[in-house]
Amino acid sequence: MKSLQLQKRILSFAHRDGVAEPQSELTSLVDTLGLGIPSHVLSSSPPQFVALQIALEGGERVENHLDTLDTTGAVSEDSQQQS
Amino acid sequence: MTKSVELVFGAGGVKGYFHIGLLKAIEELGIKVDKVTGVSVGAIIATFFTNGMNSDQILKLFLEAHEKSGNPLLLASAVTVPDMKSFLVGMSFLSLEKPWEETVEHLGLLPNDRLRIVACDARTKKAVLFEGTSYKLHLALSASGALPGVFLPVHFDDKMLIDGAAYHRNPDEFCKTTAIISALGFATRLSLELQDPISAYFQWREVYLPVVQQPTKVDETRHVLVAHEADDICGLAFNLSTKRCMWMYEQGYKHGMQVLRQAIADGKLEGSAEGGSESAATAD
Repeated sequence: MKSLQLQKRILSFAHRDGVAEPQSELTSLVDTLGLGIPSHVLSSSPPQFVALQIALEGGERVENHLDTLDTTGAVSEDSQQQS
Repeated sequence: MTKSVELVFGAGGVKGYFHIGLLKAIEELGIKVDKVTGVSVGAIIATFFTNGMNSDQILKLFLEAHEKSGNPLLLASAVTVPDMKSFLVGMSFLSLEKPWEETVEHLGLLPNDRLRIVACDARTKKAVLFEGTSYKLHLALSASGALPGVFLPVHFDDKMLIDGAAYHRNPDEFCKTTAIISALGFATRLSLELQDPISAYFQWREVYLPVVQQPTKVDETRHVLVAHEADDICGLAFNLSTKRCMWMYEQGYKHGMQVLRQAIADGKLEGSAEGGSESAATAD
């Protein structure tokens, strides 16, 4: 998947129903995957830019992670818990 | 504490791959960069870099965009009906404003204190600088790359702005400290690589009828000049093969590494002359 498509997918993930703080979702994605994204980018950049960095840095790993969340239903369970 | 330097990315269209290679060398040598000045394609790379992207990420984005650049539908969003004044300056029906507005929004790019974008006032041919955090980034990027004959000028205050290269390809005069100047040369001969008719036309035009062949000279006593040469590649040859783009990236890295190591050895720059390798590792 191209980086811009993946960025879009990451943004949809962070903004899914029931998520109160999309920025925290992005930070947690960075932590879970151990991506080397500088903390000042995470704290001060717009979500679109953070998602782009995650896409460029994580590539296929992010895709696989999101696929797993989709298939295990973790995303929808999380959503339900938060909503 | 390591002293930081400024960086100037000059104009040159598709030859921006040289800048990215040089940026890779700068990162590997541990040279600390403060403010970045950009003109045209240089303004794009300066914007990505000062927003927090590294050379590998910028290269990846450029290569992905390059794969799509042969698609004429991409120009659709740039087509516009210009007012007479704009048409007389730009001689075109293409405006970069809408595509850049969408891109800046989509990528979440912001103006910032480390970024300086240079455009040119079409009437006076003086530089117009975009600095700080309160201007519209998409207007600055559109203006800085608005090459007359290809793109329409950008209305800004009471001015009409065109490609910053019409003022100077590598404007070093705004730098307050020592700067690394990444300068892209002109095409001076036709390409042997088979090109599409549009690229071939622009190649012919840059060689025989250049629109922008403005000052390129920089103060080499004060700054470190990295001059990249590719005399058969014109700035608007967007249909180049990926192999050729990667060649420019590699050359930018190798030549940059050589010049920067020497500048470190001469005490002009601070960094680790031992860093880096002979070949640039490519992005995934």
